[in-house]
Amino acid sequence: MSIEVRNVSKNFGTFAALTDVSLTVATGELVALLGPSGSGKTTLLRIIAGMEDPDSGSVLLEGEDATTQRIQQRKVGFVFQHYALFRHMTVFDNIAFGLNVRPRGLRPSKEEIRDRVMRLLRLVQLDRMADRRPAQLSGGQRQRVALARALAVEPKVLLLDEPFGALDAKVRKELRRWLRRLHDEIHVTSVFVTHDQEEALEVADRVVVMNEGRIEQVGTSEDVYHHPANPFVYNFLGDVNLFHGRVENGQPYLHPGAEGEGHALVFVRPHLLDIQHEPSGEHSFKARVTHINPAGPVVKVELISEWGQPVQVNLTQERYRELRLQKDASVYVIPRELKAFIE
Amino acid sequence: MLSLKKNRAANAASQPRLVRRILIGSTVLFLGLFLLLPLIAVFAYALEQGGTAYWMAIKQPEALAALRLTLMTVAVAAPLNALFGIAAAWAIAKFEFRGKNILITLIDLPFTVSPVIAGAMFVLLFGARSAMGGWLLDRGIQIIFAPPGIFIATIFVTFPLVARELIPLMQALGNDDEEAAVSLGAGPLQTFWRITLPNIRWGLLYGVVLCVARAMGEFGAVSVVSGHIRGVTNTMPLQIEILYNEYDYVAAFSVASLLALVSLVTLGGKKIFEWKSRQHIIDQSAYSAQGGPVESTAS
Repeated sequence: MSIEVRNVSKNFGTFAALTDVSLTVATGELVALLGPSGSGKTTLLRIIAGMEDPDSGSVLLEGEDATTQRIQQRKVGFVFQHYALFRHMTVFDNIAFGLNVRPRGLRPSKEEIRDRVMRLLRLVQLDRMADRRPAQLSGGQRQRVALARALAVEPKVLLLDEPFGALDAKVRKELRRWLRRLHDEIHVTSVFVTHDQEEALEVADRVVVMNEGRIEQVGTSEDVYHHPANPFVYNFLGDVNLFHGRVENGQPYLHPGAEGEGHALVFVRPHLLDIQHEPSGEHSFKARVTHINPAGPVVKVELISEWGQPVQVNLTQERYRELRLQKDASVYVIPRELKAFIE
Repeated sequence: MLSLKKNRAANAASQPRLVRRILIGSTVLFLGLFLLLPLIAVFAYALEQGGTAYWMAIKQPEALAALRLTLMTVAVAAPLNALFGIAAAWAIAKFEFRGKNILITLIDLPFTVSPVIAGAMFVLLFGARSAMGGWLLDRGIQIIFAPPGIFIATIFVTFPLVARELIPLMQALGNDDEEAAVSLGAGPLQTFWRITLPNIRWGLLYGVVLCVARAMGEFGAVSVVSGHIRGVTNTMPLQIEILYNEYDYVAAFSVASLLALVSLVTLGGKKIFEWKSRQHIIDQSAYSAQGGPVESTAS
């Protein structure tokens, strides 16, 4: 089922949570709402679910206006950051809840409910946990139960609010790959909220970058990462070095004292900077090494530029060994790619 | 939990032993002198002239009437205040509205008003010489110096107990469970019976037990509205006072021992419900304690 959000605004008191937001999600798509705290992403998700009413604008589900529909009528599955499992029920009863509360005429028979719950438990790989209580499960298992519970009522749309936010880093990575595979299997239109750019880029078909109640950019992982629409998106999606500069004949230049006409903000990701012992090319500048962290797949080198600005460079392990870098060494930093936004 | 225990142990170890012993010793001494000893004295005095005298004192019609009225008062006040407590806690914990803080303050009012004043308030409101009391009397309904007055005064005094217990509990539990239930298609009543009530049941029972204990022991407010009509409007505490004032110590302490016994049972019940309720919240926090800051719904 497709989702269409049209010109939605929402205020909490004097705080503008959403300002004139419009968004379309196609049937079967997996979309991430990505942004920092307070960017309005959770509010947008809750408005789509019907848990929050927009001050203005409308929400269309499958082309039909759902703005005034109650949550129960919208056929959305909602997964909460803290799972919201019913503590006093077993895993089985949690998943069966949505079927058990149906009016008698629409309720499947006991056997059908049993079959469906067991099928879902197998889908989320928890078929041996049916009789456990939520308190006896790990965080990752709980979130999978929550997902199975949401899927049990066969929702047209699956909405997930920071689904991995409460999990530790390792489980979180496993679970998000699993979610991607699950989505490829069942193809239910899904929207999930996250503040973790890596998670959004890895899992989603399309990423919606939000900031201060507005949408900054919508696009595939590649679009938003390699072709950011503005400085906020560039900054938010991964580490970045920010320099002052100017643009001349369409070419960006680093220029620490630049001001006025042609002044631009120049962004360079740490892995697009190289270090050499000699100056090279027109963009290179002198810097002093202040810290080296060689642990991990890349070596993170921190430097201070000749005009006193901290700079971060990520080198491959080979390049780092080649250079024989030492702390306090004087070197040259060579940008391989500059991205400029004119102010 | 483990680190918490360690902390406590470290803390205790850093205190000088002597200080610890003096503190524990004086607390035990104080409790013994002011709580345990009088309680034992009540039972000892009641049984001084043997079991038969004790039994005779309790079997007196007036004493039995007092017991009946007390139990009836509990039966009226506890369920009503349970209902009110759930409604108030629900309103306060789950909704945002103007004047919420004033409402919370008002709920506490019976704690700050002296029970005697509370009783006097109802006499002014429902007494024979008041407009409302007169109107009701004309229709054959007597409030003051009759059981209804006692019920009303008791309800007033025990008013905050359930609400006070449930408000922080429901605030801690949050709205997620109910929202999850509704998103799965449950109606408001189904959500209440299947989700909310099971979540708050131990806290609710704890509040009700407190309410029962207070309703049985209430003296001041009830004394003002009761009129002390023997066998009709005397509750157990009032009956005890009358017997005591008449120097009938054995009878007074016999009835008192009965009241004390019920209090001990309530204390036990209270302890169990309190423990169960805490268990429930620990389950819940173990749940969200997986790390990561809780993001507000406004994000």
